[in-house]
Amino acid sequence: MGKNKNIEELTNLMSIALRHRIGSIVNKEEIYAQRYAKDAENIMEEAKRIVTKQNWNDYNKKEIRERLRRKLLKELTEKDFLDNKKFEIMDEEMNKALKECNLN
Amino acid sequence: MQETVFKKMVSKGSRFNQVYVPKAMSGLIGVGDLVEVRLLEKHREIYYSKKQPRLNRFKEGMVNEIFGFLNKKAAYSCIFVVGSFLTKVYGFNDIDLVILDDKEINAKRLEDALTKEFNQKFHILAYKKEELEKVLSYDPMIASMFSSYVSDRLIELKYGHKIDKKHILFLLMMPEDLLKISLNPKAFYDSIRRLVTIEHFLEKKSLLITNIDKEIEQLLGKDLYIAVKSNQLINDNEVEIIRGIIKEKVDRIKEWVKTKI
Repeated sequence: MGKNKNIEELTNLMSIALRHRIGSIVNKEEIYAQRYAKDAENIMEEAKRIVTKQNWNDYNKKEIRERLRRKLLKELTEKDFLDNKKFEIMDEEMNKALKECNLN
Repeated sequence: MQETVFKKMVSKGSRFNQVYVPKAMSGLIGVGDLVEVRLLEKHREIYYSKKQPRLNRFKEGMVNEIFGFLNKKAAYSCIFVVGSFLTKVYGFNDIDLVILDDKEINAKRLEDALTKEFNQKFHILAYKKEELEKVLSYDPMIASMFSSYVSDRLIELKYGHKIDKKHILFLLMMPEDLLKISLNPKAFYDSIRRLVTIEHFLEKKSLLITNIDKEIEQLLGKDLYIAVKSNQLINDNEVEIIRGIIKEKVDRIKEWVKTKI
C-alpha cells in the first residue's frame, strides 16, 4: 500500500479513535473516560499498526496533521449528541494522539 | 504481671456477641479481672447477589484472598467482583473489581499491586455509592455487569431505569464504526454484546451476562460465536454476516430511541 493510501487509512482510524476518546471525556461524568476508554484504544492500536508501515518525513507529518484535523472536526460535528465542549479539547487531544504515534 | 494471652473467635450470642475464656485458663483470668480484646484478623465472608450461583472452592478462596489483600490496604465501603471471573467455568480474562468508597482511589496503583500479588490481570472501577447507583440507572452495560456479583459486604443497591438518549447514541458509536472499519474479532463480539444488552435494557428484559451470551450464540451460531469470543481469525464472509447483524440491531435501537423517547 502506498504512503498516500496509508495516510488516508491512518487519519480515518485516528479521527474515529479520537472521537471516541473525546466523547468519553465530555459526554458525562469522568466515569466514562475509564469505562469506555477501551473503544478508543482498540482503534488507536490499529492506527499505530499502520504508523509502523512507513517512515514518515516532516512533510508527511504535516499532511497527516491537516487531514486528521479536517476529519476529526467532521466526525465531532456529525455526532451532535456529544457535548459541545468537544471542540474545546479537540486540538489538545489531537496533539496528544499524534505524539503517542510519534507523528508530532 | 506475667502476660496472659489467648486467642479465640468471637461467637454469636442471643443478645451480645461473646468471647469465652478457655476453661484451662480459669485460674489465670477470673471474674472481675480487667482484660483487653483486640482484633487480630477480620473474619471474611463472601456475599452473593441474588442471581449469582455459588463459586467453586478455588474461586471462593481467591476472592477471599483478594478481599483480604484490599482490606489490609484501606477500609473500603464495599468491594465487588463482577464479570467473566464469575461466569466462566474455565479460564477468564481480567478479574474485574468495583470498589465503592467516598474517598479518591488510585485504581491503577491498586491494579498493579494486585497483579504483583496474584500474578493475574485486574481491572478496577472506583465509584462513590451514589455515582454507581446513578450510572446503574442509565448505563445498560454497567447494569448488566451488576446483574450478578459477589461482594465483601452485604449492600443494597438501587437499580433505577432511565433511558438516556444521548448515552445510548454514545454507546452505539463503536458498533456503527465497525460497519466501516475492521478491528479484531473480539471487538465485533463486544459490539454485538453491547447491542443485545442495550436491547434488553430498553425492553426491560434480563441483563444477566449468561442470558445475553446465550442470545449471541443463537444469533451467530456456535462456531462463529466461539471464534469471535476467543478472538480467533474469521473470514470476510463471516465479517459480513456479523456486520449484517450489527446493522440490523443499530437501526432497530435507533428507531426505538427515536419513537419512544
